[in-house]
This record gives sequence, structure tokens and C-alpha cells, in this order.
Amino acid sequence: MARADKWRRVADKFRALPDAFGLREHTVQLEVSQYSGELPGDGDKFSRYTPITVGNGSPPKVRFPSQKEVALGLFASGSVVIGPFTPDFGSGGFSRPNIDGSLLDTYVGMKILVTGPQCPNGMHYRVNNSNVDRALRIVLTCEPAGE
Amino acid sequence: MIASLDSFGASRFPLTQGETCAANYDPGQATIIGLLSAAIEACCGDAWRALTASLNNDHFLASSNNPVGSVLTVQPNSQNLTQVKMAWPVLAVYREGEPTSGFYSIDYNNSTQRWSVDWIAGPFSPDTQRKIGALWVPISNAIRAAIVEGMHPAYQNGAYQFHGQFSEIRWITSAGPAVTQELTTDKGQGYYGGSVILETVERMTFQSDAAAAITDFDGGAYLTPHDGYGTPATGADVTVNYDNKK
Repeated sequence: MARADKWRRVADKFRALPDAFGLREHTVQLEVSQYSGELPGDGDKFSRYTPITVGNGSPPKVRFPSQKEVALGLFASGSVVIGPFTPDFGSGGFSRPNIDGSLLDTYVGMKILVTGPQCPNGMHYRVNNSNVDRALRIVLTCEPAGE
Repeated sequence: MIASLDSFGASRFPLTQGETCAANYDPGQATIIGLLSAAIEACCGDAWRALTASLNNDHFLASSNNPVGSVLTVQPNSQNLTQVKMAWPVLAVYREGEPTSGFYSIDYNNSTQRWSVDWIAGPFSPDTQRKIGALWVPISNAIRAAIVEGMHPAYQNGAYQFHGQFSEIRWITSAGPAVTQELTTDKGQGYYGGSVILETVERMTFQSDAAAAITDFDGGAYLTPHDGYGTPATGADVTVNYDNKK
């Protein structure tokens, strides 16, 4: 196991603690979808959902920026910050190439589905910025996507 | 309600239950995309493959086999490009702006619509712009030739494509190669490519079956035989029963 992976495993374990107290109310899933037709939108849609979790299946931190942050230009209106969650460390974590779309085939779509009190019926987001510059954490800044 | 017309431009009415995709809803757009994709591949495909084979293996175009890697039927913007994986280069063909309404003669409507055809090769550094960017010039000329001719030998055996869809289609202008000002990656890097503006004229038409069902013809025009506007089911030319006009 790489040295960084040991720290990732520790970080991942502690990131799940808020959920143990019932404080993580939003679930996050990576939705990868494609259509039966030639181009996106043609024919039937097929989606595959992969939960983004920390620890032993706990939801990650999900934060909707305050109006003050939006007014200051720190975030776009309607955006959501997902994470930190943990890069892949072998026995857990989330693989970073799954986030940047580099593994997708042409015409395959990728969105983030967030479900919780802020969006009880689930809301789709697109990844606007994936912050993977830290060894122990991934943070996604997402903006609303069409349904 | 009785259909008041049978077609407007490339649209055929009524749409059937089996017509459930974008190519049915805007067949004119599908025709332009099909024609231009084939024309670009035929005119520049071999050069493109030789060019991409000379790139370093880690270049994102190194495995590209076609000067049209994927097509987009809507305006390319960050919303679209960050939700669906597109293979570069992207050929985007879409109706742009608001069409203007006009008349060929009294009660003979037409609609003039501008289209954008964008060829977006990807975010390029200056050396890649030098190496690949100028290829936009022959691609742009291939687009222009295909539009002017209305066909390309490489597409559907060289059949004329716009018969019965557009009364007129013309090349207006082109721009590029250049770095786009509006379309950038999330890091602010502009995409490189070029753009062509087309203009089409679509007209309202009646066909004999619809004309027989209505008594007052305002806003439409009768078809001359064999002008390419066919029945929705078969596409066959219709000979109009001019007695209906009484």
C-alpha cells in the first residue's frame, strides 16, 4: 500500500463520522447515461448510478453555498459543493478518472444526482470544477444541469 | 383539428408515432449534418489521419480517426460539453437566432433562418494551432462546396439533399481558424476551430390530401408537381388537385 493510501484510509474513516450522528442528509450519485440511438437523446436512455460515499457507505459532505458567497462571486447561483471525499486507496475511496469523464465513451453523459432536503426529488448537476489537487481529498463544485 | 398544411420547410405533417427523434423533428438539420460530415471526411479524412498519426501519443487527438469525431445538434457551450463526452473534433450544426418571415407572394409564407456550423477541434496550444489549425481552411471550403452543390459524391451516392426541404440554402460567411472568445474550458482556455454561417429559406406548402380537407386557404401555397415535397409517408411527389382551390 502506498504511503498516501494509508492516510487516505484514515481520512475516509473520519469523514464518515458525521453520518454516524445523522448529520449527512444528502446522498450523491454519479449518473452515467447513454441512449440506444445514434446520438444523445435518440431512443431509450440507460443510466448507471454509482454512489459517491465515504467510510462504509456514508454520504459525503454536501454544501449549498450561502447567498453571501454567491453575491461575492465565489460560487455561481444554484451551485453545490460536494466533498471532501476520498480518492481511491485500494479498499475504498473514489477513483478520480471516474470524475473527470476520461473513461467515458463518445456520446456517454455524466451527471451528479443529489437527493436530500434541498432537493427531495433529486436534482442533476454537472461538474464545473473538480478539485483533486490534494492527496487526501476530492471536492467537486457543480452547477445545475438540465433534466 | 384538420391539418392546415402538410409541410413547412423540411417538416412534414402530421408526425407519426414512429417519428420520435430529433432527425424526424428537424430533418433539415439532420440532412445538413449528414452531408457536411461526409463531405469533410471525404475531402480531408486522409490528411487528418496522417496529421494525427504524427502527434505525440499523449496528445488528445492522437487516436482521432476522423475530422468529425462527434456531432452536436445544439449550440456548443460549457453546459453541453461538460455533460456528454464528445470526441474531438466536434461538428455542431444548429439553428441560430430568430428567423425572419417573408412572402414569396401574397399568402405564400416563407421563413429565412440562419444556421451556425461550428468545427471545434479542441483546446490547442500555439504549436498545435500551427500544426492543425490551418486545416480549417480546406474544411471550410469543403463545407462551402457541399452547400453550394447541395450534394457530395460521398453522401448517398451524390443525391441532391435539399430538394423539398429548403427552397434556398446558401453559404453566408465563415470565420476562423481562431480561438473562440465565448467558449472556454473551465480553466478559461479557449477552444480552437472555425465557424460557417448558412442561411436557409423554408416555405409553407399544402398537398392535395390536406387541401381537399379544408375550404379556406390562407397562408399556404399549392405545390407544383414534382417539386420534391412529398407525402409524409412516402416522400413521393404529389400532384396537386387544383380544383380544390375553387
